[in-house]
Amino acid sequence: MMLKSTTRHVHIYTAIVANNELVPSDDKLTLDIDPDNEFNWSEDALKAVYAEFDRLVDAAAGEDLTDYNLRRIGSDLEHFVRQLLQQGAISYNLKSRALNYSMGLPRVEAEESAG
Amino acid sequence: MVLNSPTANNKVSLIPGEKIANPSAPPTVTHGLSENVILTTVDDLYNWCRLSSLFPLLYGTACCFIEFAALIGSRFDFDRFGLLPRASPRQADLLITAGTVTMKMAPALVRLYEQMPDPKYVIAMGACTITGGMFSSDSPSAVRGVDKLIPVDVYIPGCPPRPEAIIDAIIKLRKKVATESMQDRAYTLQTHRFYERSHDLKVVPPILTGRYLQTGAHSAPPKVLMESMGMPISEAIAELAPEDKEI
Repeated sequence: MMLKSTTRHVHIYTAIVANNELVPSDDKLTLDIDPDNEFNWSEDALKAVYAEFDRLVDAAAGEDLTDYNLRRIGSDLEHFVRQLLQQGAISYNLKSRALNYSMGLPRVEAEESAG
Repeated sequence: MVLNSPTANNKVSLIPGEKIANPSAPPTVTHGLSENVILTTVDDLYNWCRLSSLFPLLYGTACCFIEFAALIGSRFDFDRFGLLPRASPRQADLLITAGTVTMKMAPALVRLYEQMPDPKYVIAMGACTITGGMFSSDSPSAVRGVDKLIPVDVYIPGCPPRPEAIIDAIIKLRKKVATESMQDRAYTLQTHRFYERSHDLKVVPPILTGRYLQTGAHSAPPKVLMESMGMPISEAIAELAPEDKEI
């Protein structure tokens, strides 16, 4: 049975992609980043997220492959995406399907409070 | 409000020492359909057809659905807006998330959303689906707002909202549908950024089998809990207790 952790920006499946379909697989994980395009992604930001995913999956080696552990990885990855957004590495896509600002409204931040 | 993108940073007049957190920007890639055809009149006709026949999915996870069910009934009668409840996501184009969404329900909700044909709309109904509501402060399982899972077009506040509030939200959604254009259709499509890798996690049999009440852990509360509640502890349980650690 395919396990998954799907939140808005991070979809993790225990599956591989073949012919544009997800095929369940026990020894592979597939990550999908922000399919609904809430953010503008740059190559560097995507690579950073993939590297963080690699790090989290390596750190989870040996644990049970369950929904809960996948959700932990997914949740940590969502926090990482939020960090990227706060640093300005990615930005909200103003032409997305629905503008929700789901990770906080844009705002001007003085250096003192940021530090 | 000053909005900027990383590339437009130098144009914005920020005092030194200030920076923009959570920036927003228009997409840099232009999609194929967005700048080549003019379809204004067809748009109006097409939008009018769509907004007059929004088919909501029969989706309800908690008390908000009681109010939604009242809306379906004859007193509030939402058929007059052309809304016909559909029991299959393949036939629905409106998802009203009535009720609390938990992390266990989240993959099912995302799957329902992905099974709906485009163009599709989501109304987040009630406090639980906007922020987590009364579960937002201490629940280990409630999702803090469905906009963390799927894009939301209209939020209805209330706990639960009255049927009139849902009618108001549907009118607002109709206005949104009316202003849409086919030229922007390309922007609403999904983009998959797949990344595949192998892992070293241990494959275990499924843990969510629906038989958790038969596992024995639920026939009597754990000893610690019984003690703190002041329940009498039978001798059998008191003997069992050392082995009960994993429960």
